[in-house]
Amino acid sequence: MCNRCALLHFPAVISFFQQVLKMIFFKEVILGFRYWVIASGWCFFRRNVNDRQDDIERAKTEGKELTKEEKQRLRKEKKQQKKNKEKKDEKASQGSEKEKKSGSLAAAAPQPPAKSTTVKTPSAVPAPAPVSVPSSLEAPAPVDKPSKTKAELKAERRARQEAERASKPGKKGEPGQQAASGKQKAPPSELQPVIKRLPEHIQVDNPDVLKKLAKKLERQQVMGLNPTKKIPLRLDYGYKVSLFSHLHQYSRKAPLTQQLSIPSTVIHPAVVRLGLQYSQGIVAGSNARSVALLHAFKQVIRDYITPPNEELSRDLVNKLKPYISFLNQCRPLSASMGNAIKYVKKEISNISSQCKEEEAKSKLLNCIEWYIKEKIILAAKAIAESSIEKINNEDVILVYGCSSLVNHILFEAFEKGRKFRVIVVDSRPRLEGREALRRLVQRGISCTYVLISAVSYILPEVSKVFLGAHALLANGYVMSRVGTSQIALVARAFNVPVLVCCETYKFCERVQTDSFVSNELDDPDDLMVTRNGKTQLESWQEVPSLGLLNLVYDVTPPDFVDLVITELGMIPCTSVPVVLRVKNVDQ
Amino acid sequence: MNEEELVEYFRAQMRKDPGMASAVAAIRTLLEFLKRDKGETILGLRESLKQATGCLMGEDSSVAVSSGGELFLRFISLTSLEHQDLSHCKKVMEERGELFLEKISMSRNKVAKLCHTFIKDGAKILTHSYSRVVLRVLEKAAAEKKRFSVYVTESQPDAAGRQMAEALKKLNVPVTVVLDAAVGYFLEKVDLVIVGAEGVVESGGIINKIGTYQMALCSKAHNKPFYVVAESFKFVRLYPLNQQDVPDKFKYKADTLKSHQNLSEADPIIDYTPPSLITLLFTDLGVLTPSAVSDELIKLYL
Repeated sequence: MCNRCALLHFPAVISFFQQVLKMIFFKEVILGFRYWVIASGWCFFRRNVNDRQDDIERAKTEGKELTKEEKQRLRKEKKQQKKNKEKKDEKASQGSEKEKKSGSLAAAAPQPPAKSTTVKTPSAVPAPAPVSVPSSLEAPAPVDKPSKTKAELKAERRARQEAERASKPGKKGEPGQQAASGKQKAPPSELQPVIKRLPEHIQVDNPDVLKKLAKKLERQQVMGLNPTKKIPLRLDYGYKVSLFSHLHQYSRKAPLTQQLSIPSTVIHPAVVRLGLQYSQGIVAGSNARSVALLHAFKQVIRDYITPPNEELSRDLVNKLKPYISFLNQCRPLSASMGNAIKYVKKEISNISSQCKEEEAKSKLLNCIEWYIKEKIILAAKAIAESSIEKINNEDVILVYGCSSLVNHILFEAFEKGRKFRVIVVDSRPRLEGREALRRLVQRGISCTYVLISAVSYILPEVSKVFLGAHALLANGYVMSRVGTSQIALVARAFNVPVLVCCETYKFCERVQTDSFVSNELDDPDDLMVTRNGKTQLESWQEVPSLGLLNLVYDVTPPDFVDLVITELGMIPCTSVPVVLRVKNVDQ
Repeated sequence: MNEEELVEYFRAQMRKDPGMASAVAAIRTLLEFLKRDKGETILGLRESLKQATGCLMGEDSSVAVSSGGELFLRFISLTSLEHQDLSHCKKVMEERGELFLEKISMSRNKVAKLCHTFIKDGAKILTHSYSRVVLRVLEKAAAEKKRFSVYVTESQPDAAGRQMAEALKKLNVPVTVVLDAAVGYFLEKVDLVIVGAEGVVESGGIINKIGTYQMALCSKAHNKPFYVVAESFKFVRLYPLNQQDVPDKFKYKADTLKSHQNLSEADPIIDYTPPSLITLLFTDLGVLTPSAVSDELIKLYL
């Protein structure tokens, strides 16, 4: 069925034969001949489609897991198909191109919709067609093949394109590549019901994901702007410990803002300032970061002007996307910031199109004000009220690091006249406990200061442990500053009650049982310490077997936590999903 | 209805039916109070109900009375949002109050129905002090022709365990009264431990007669299941972190609270058992694990 009838599909050849046949045979035979041509064309098309369908079926079933043999088999099949294609090309280069073109033209209509988007109108550029047919044969194969073979295929395809480009003028490169990448993106959406995509920020060691992220950043800023003014991808710094190589590790000395031009027309200056404050650690702490973010968004909304022919509800959300990507690169977003952003986006998209711009803007500003007031400030008041019942006279309370909420609770209890003393536990390299110590002593509360290595020594004296939280996960685990889990463990061993204070806006739907899968890596240079003029570890980068790890968060299992105090009341750690459910029902 | 009438009514209810839980008697009293109340506003009504509950606590300082009163108040307040007219509102409240009482009088039977299946033939059961719910469960199990024997702790200072032993003898169940201090000694012989509760707290732990905590610790050490049977109106909005954290007003008998100056000399009559020591709770809302109690409480109160 292959080569011989392929030749005959060529319209010029067909018409020539028709001329000959007209002279020799009757009309019926000529008509029959035409039908035969169409029929063989249809068979050719069907073969292609069947192949593709087989590939799709195979891809779908094998999408979950590919064994080595199956991968090898697929690779062999692809190479075979490519060889066949190349043979056809050699036989009659022009003829084979055009034959493929008519084959794919016939195929264009019934083709599955995912691929038809990339095949442009048949009367238009014929270039994408030959490119799309081979790539359509390759792309349906499962996406999670090793990148090596994709590179191989790409190289071969590129070589063929060069050859075709030499014989044919026209814009083959861009549309061809776009068609190819479009094809690659289509199968993932087909496979998505089978494979769940992991978030990008924990797939740093996968080069494809990084490429996708770079493309996404580009797409977010392509609005007719000068391409040199876009936000670059922030590069990782230093050797990463292999257990955490899937996370980003940035250096504080290379903030993203240095690579931006001034004035930056892509990112609002308030957001640039915020990004710098995040990456340098000037604004730190869950509540502080969320409030700063919301204030920056308020400034953005105030300065926003709806472009003509655009709706505020849709355009503003799109404007916010590059800002959020930028902030994410400066410092990974926290769970509380994620929830705040979701809320702002929801409010923006709920603005009706009838609203005038001034009215809409003031409404949004009020919404943000309300969120800050109710979810952060009033929640802190409510939590302080509940916690005071748990603080008795003659209590010895242990706190770790600097949590704004825990400090607030202690201030309120002290104002109400409770007599207690505080033990502040601190740890390197952030030494946040010093800030907490300063604030508590200023109020007149008597404090003791120890480092975390002394916690088992000091715990027999302690009557209660108060901890802050960065986020509360859906399975009851508490995500907090690194070291919290250790303190909770030792407190449980000494039978000292552990109380976690957390507002409900920090509750997130994520589930995590260990501190490895999703975390934040801080600048490893922070671990260097200078004493007596000498800096140990100064040349750590030169030692090939040495890696410095500066983790920021860890998770504490709910068995170590006795009580969680939220503005909804005191709940056990295992009831977090109930609160999330109740909250979702409310909204 | 003033304070003396209230207390008198309460005592009369307790006398009339000794098998009734003190919380149910308290709720009946509050319902009667509601019927006789001459207040003009909802807010005034709530205030006077709160005062009445406090008054009843002065008579019988158990956790159950407090929780029953609070639940009744909650039940009432949810009604008050729907109707504008006070008298209409009160009538609806009374109807709902009667309905509530009817429901909770069935709760003990519901609990017994759930729990008796966990008592296997030939089982040896350990229980603590006198609990009407546990008695009901054992009655049901005996009615199902199961053969089991019971060890009851004496439960000083009021020797309520002996009362329990008497009641069980009437059911023809072989029963042994043991010393409170002998719990560890007898635990290797028993198969399961069932106790009642005076109050179930938010964390999933229970407040019960003193000695329960010890029994729970010993059963955990011996890996024996520790079951708690309690009706849902005993769920209370407390969250103790340890023994010390339980409010004093529950720990001592009402007369002790009034007479004694220095409470540290008095003996506490209840203790708190944390949820980590409890295997399952049998309530009229179903069989719950300790962490599910908070879920139910959120549904009841929030």
